Amino acid sequence: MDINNTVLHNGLTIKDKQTINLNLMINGEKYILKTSPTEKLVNILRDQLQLVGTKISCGIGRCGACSVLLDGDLVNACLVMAYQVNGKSITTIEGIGGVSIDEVQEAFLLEGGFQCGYCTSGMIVAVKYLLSMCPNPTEADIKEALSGNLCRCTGYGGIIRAVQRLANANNYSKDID
Amino acid sequence: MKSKLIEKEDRIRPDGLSKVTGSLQYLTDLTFPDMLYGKVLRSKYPHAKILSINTEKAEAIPGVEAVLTYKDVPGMNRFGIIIPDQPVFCEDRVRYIGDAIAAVAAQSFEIAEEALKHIEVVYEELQILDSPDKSLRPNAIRLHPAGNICHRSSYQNGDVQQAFEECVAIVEETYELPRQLHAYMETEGGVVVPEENGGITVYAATQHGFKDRFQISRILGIPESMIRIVSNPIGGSFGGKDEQNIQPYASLLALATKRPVKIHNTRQESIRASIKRHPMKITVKTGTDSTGKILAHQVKIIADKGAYTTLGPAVLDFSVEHAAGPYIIPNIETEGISVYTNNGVSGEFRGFGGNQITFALEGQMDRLAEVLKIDPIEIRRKNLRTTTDLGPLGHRIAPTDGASLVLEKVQKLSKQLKKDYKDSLWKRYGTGIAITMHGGGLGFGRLDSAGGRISLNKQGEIEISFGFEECGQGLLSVIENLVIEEIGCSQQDVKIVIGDTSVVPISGSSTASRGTSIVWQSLQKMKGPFKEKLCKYVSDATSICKEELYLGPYGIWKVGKEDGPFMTYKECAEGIVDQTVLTSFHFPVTPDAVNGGHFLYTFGGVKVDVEVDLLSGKVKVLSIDHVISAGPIVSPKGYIGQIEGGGVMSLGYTLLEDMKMINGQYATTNFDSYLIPNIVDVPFDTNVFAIEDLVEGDSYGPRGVGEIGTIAIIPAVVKAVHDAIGCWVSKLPISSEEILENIESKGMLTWI
Amino acid sequence: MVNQIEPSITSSPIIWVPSTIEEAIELKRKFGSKAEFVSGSTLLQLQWMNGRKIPENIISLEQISKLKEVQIDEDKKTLSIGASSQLSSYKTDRLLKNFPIICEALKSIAAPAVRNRGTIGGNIMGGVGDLIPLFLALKAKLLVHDEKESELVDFWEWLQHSQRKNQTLLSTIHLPIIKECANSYSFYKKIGRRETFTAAILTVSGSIRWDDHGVIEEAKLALGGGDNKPFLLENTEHKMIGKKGEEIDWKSVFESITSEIAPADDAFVSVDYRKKVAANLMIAALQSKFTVISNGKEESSYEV
Ligand SMILES: Cc1cc2nc3c(=O)[nH]c(=O)nc-3n(C[C@H](O)[C@H](O)[C@H](O)COP(=O)(O)OP(=O)(O)OC[C@H]3O[C@@H](n4cnc5c(N)ncnc54)[C@H](O)[C@@H]3O)c2cc1C
Ligand code: FES
Ligand code: FES
Repeated sequence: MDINNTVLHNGLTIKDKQTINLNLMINGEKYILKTSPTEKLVNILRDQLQLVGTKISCGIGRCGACSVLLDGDLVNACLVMAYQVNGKSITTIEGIGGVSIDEVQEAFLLEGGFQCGYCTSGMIVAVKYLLSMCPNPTEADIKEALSGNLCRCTGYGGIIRAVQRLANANNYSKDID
Repeated sequence: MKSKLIEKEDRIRPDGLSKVTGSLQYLTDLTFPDMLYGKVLRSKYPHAKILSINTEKAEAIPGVEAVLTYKDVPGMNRFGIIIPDQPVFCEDRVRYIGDAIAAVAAQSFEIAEEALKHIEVVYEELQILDSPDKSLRPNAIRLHPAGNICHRSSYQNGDVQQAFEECVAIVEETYELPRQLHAYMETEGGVVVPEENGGITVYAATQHGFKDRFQISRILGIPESMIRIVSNPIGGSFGGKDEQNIQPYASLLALATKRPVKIHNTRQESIRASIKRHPMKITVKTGTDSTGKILAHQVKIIADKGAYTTLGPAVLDFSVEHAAGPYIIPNIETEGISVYTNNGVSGEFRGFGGNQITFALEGQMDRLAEVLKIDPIEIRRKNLRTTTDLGPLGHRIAPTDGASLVLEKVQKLSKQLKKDYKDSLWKRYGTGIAITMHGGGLGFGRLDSAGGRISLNKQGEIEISFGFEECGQGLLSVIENLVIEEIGCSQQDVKIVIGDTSVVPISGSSTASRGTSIVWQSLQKMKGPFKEKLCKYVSDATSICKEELYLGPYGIWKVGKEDGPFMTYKECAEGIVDQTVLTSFHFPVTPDAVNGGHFLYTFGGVKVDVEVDLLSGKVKVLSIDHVISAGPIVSPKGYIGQIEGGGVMSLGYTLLEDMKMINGQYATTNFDSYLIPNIVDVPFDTNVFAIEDLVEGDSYGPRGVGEIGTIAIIPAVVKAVHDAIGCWVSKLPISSEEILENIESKGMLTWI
Repeated sequence: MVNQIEPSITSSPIIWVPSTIEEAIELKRKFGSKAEFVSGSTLLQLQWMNGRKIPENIISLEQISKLKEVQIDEDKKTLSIGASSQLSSYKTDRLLKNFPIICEALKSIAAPAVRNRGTIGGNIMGGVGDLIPLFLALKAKLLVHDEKESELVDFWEWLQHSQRKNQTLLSTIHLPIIKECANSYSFYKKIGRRETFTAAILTVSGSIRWDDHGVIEEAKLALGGGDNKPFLLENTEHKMIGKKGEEIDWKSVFESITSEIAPADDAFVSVDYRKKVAANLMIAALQSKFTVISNGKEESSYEV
C-alpha cells in the first residue's frame, strides 16, 4: 500500500490536513459534507445539518440522548466520528415514522413514555433497535436494551409500558400467524 | 369530590406529537442568522482573591468577537432570586468553582473555548471553607459581609426539655444527606437575540419568565419592557433552572456584539456552575411515652448553602416547617441554620427541603417503633393529625384527612404480601413504609401572585394563557383538560399560550407544585364571566335569550338544538369585541402570620420491598407502591408520571446519587461517575394509588403533584434495609460499604 | 496586537485505513509514537476529551476483516476471537453464543450502543477493561504483532513484562476450550456503583479444574475492572491447589485474597471495601461450586 496515496481504503479523500469529504446517507437522503475527520456525528447532525431531533446531554456516551442507528445498529452519535460513518447510512429520530407516525412513537404517546421529551428521541431510536432485534422483549430484554438511555423525568414507567404494549401487540400478531 | 376524568385517559398531550417525532425545537436547538457562540470562564479555585484579569490575548484570537468581564456590566453586577448576592462576573474574589469571571462570544464554540484558555487571571488562593462546620468556626474568614450564616429559621412550641424528662423512650440520631444534581437531560442554554429597539429577546429555559426579566433588566440596566423572555419548552428542570444560569452572559454578549449569541452548557459546565439540592445534617432527639405518643421532638438542621443565597432561606424555612410532618407533637423545638461555604451553590430542588427533613422524621418514627416494639404503622397512627388539626407551625390550614387516608391505604398494602421473597444464601429481603405531608405554594409572607387569562382570539380559538412553563411536568395537558372540562369546548377549540413574557399574564413561578392548583383556581374564577361574555354577544346579535345558550364543542350551543353549535366560535370571533377575561389573585395562604406557613397540603405514602446482597452490601429496590392524596386527578398519565418519576429520582438520592465535593471541587463531572437510576434500577413492579377525595366543602380543587412523590420513598427504603438485615442507615446515599460492615459484624459471612 | 495566536483546535489527525495487518504494522512503524491504533475509539475518545493528546495519525483497524473473525480450532482446542470483534458480538456471533461466561462478561460492559462500537481488542489494549480479568482467568494467549515479529504470548506474562504494548497490534485472543466441563468451573462477576452501565468497582473472574477425586489441579483467580490494575492472585491459587473443596479453610482464603490484592481507591469506594468484596465474590462463587460437587457425590453414592 502506498501510504502517501491520498485516497484511503474506505474511499475517504484527504482534502488537506483538516477536512475530508464525507459521503453518507441520512434518513434515506444522500449527503456530501466537508468536515474534520474527527468531528462528532452529533455535531454534524445538529450543527451542520440542523437535524436537532437528536439531542446532546453528556457528550461521552453515558446518556443515550444522541442515539441514532448506524447501518441499523444503535450507536451514540457523540461517540462516532465523521470518518467512521463515511459511506454509511444513518437513521435519526427524524427518519423514524413517515407520513404517519411509527408504532413506537404512537405507543409513547398512548402510554406517557415521555415528559420533557429531551431523552425521547434517543429512547425511541433505542426501542426501535430493540424491537428490530427482538420483537417480543421480556423484562430482561427491555432492561438490557434501554440500559444506556437515561430519562430523568418519567422514572421509566411510561417507557416500560410503551414497550410492553408493543411487545404484547407483536405477541398477539404472532399468535394470529 | 370524585373526578370525571377517566374518559380523558387517552387524550394525548398537546406537546406529545412534536416530542415523539423529535420535531419540537428546544431553546438550545435554536439557531439564528449571524449567530455567535458564547462560553463562560469559571473560577479555577473554590476560594481566592482575583489580583488581575487580562483578556487581551483572548481578544486577539481570530473569530473572537467579544470578551466581557465585570467592567462590562452596565447595570447591577449581581443576581439572586431572594437576595442578589451572586456576581454576574466576579470583581476581586471568587467563592466557588462555578463563579464566572469572563465570557467570550466567538464564531464557534471551539474558538470561544480556546479563547477562555487565553484569558489570564491571577489569583491568590484563600482558605477553603468546604463544610458548614469550618464556616462556623469563630475565626473563619467571612464569605459575605454579614458573615457566614445565610439564614436562621426556627419554630418552638411547648417545652421540650421538660417533656423529655417524662419520656419513656428517647431516640437521638444525626441524619446526613448529600448534594443532589437535578440532572435535567437538557443542560442550560439558549440564544439571546438583540432587537432593533435596543432590547433583547431571551430564548432560555427558566421556571419563572417574569422573574428572569426582572433580574436581567437589573443586570443590563435597561427597562423590563425592552426584554422579552421566551422560556418554553424546557428539557427538564426540577427546580434547577429557576435561578439565572446562562441568561446574563448571553444577554451581555448579545448586546455587546449586536448579534444573536448562543450558549449551551456542556454537561461538565452545567455541573460546575449549576445549583444543587442542599446537603443537610439533621440532628434529632425524639421522645415518647410508653404507648408511642410523641411528647418531645427536638431538631437541629444545618444546611450547606454553598457560596450564594438564591432560594436557600426559603428551603430552610420549608424544612423547619415540615419537621413534625403529619404528626401532632405537643412539645417541639426546631432550629435551622443555612451556612455559606465554598462549595457549589445549593438552591431549589423538587421537594424543597421536605425530602431531607422527612428522612429524619420518619427515621425517628421507625427507630422509636423498634425501641418500643410497636408496629411502625401503629406508632404513626398514634401521632397522626386529624382533619381539623392545625398545621405544623401551629397555623390554620385547609382541613384535610389526607394523612389518615394515606396511612390506611399504606397499611392495607403492607399487609398484602405481593411476592414471597425467600431469603437465599446471599440475599436478604425487607419491607419498609413511610408517609409524608407536603405544602404547596410559596407560603405565608411571600409574594405568591397567581392568575391567568382566557379569551376568544381572532381565529376563533379559546385562548388560555398563563405565565407558566412546560418543563415536562405536563402542564399543557393539565390546562387543556381543565379548559375542556370547565368551558365545555372541544380539544380543537383550545389554544394554549405560555412561556413568553410578551404575551402571558402574571401567574407566578412554575414551582412549588403550584401549577395545577392555579390553573384550576383561575378557571373557576374566569369561566363564568367568559361564558357570560360569549353568550351575551350571541344573544345580542341574535336576540335569543342568554339563558338558552351555552358553550360547547366548536361553538355556542342553543338548548334544544343538539345537531351542532348555534354559532361557531369562529363566527363569534368575527364580531365580538369584549372577549377577554383576566384574573389575578394570591395563592391560597394561611390566615395566620407565620412566615412560610402553607395552607394547602398533599400527602404521600410509600411501601417498598428491597433486596440486600450479603456479599457486596448492595441494595436493590424490588417494588414500589405509592399512595397519594392530592385531590382529584386532572390528567392521569401526567399524575402517574410525576409520582413515578419523582419516586425514581429519590430512589437515586437514596441509593446512588452523591454530588461529592472534595476541597471545594466536584469529585464528579458527568454521568460516568454521577450515577442516576437507569431502567435496570427501577422495579417494573411500581404502582400508584391515588386518593382523590377531598374533605367535604373543600373548594381548592386539585393540588399539584410535582413534589409529593419524591419524599416518603427515601425513609421507606431505609426502613426496608433495616427490615432485611437489622441495620439503621442514617447517611445517604446508602453506603454499600457501611451495609457490608454490618453484615460482617453480624457474622452473616462465615469466612470473616 | 502583534502576537497572534494560532488556535490549536483546527488541527485534526490524518486517518489511515489499512486493510491488512501488515499495512497497519507498516504504518505504525513509519509514524511511531505519532500514530495510534484505533478500533471502535470508544475509550480513546473519552481519553482525548480528558486531555490525552490526539495523535497526528490515526490507524483505523476497522477495515481489516481478518481481525473480525471468531473461530474454533478443534485440533488445538482453542477458541480464537479477532480483536475487532465488537463487544455486542455475543448477540450476533454464532460461536460466541456457546460460551456463556464470555457472553455474560460482554453484556456487563457499558450499554448496547457502546457495545455496538467498542471492541474486544480495544477493551484489552485499553488496559482497564472488564474483559482482562476474564481472559486472565481463562488462561488466554494473545497473538500480537509489531514491526519485528508476530508471536503468541501468554496474556499474564505479556501484561506484566511487555515494554512495547503501545507499539503492538493485537490480532486475536486465543482461549483454551475445556471439553470435560464436568470437572471445571469458571465464573465472572462485576460490581459497580450502579446495577448496570457503570465502571466496575471491581471485576473478578476465576476458573478451577479438579480431578475425579475432587482434588483441585488448577486454579486461576483474577481481579481487574475500572481503575484496578489487572492482577492474577497467584498466592491464593497455590493455597487451593492440591486440596479438595471441603479441605479448604475459607477464612484463610479470605485472608489470602485480601492481603494479596491492591485495588484502586477513589472518592466513592475505598480500597478496603474493594478487597472484601473481591474476596466475598470469589469465595461465594467457589463455595457454590464445591457445594454442588459434594452434593453431586452424595447423590451418586446413593445411586451405587
Ligand atoms: C460510555 C462508555 C462506557 C464504557 N463502559 C465500560 C465498561 O463498563 N467496561 C469496560 O471495560 N469498558 C468500558 N468502556 C471503555 C471502552 O469502551 C471499552 O473498553 C471498549 O472495549 C474499548 O474498545 P474500542 O474498540 O472502542 O477501543 P479504542 O478506543 O479504539 O482503543 C482503546 C485502546 O486500545 C488500543 N487498541 C484498540 N484496538 C487495538 C488492537 N487491535 N491492537 C492494539 N491496540 C489496540 C487503542 O490504541 C487504544 O489505546 C466504556 C466506554 C464508554 C464510552
Ligand atoms: S450525548 Fe451522547 S450519550 Fe449522552
Ligand atoms: S422525558 Fe425528560 S428526560 Fe426523559
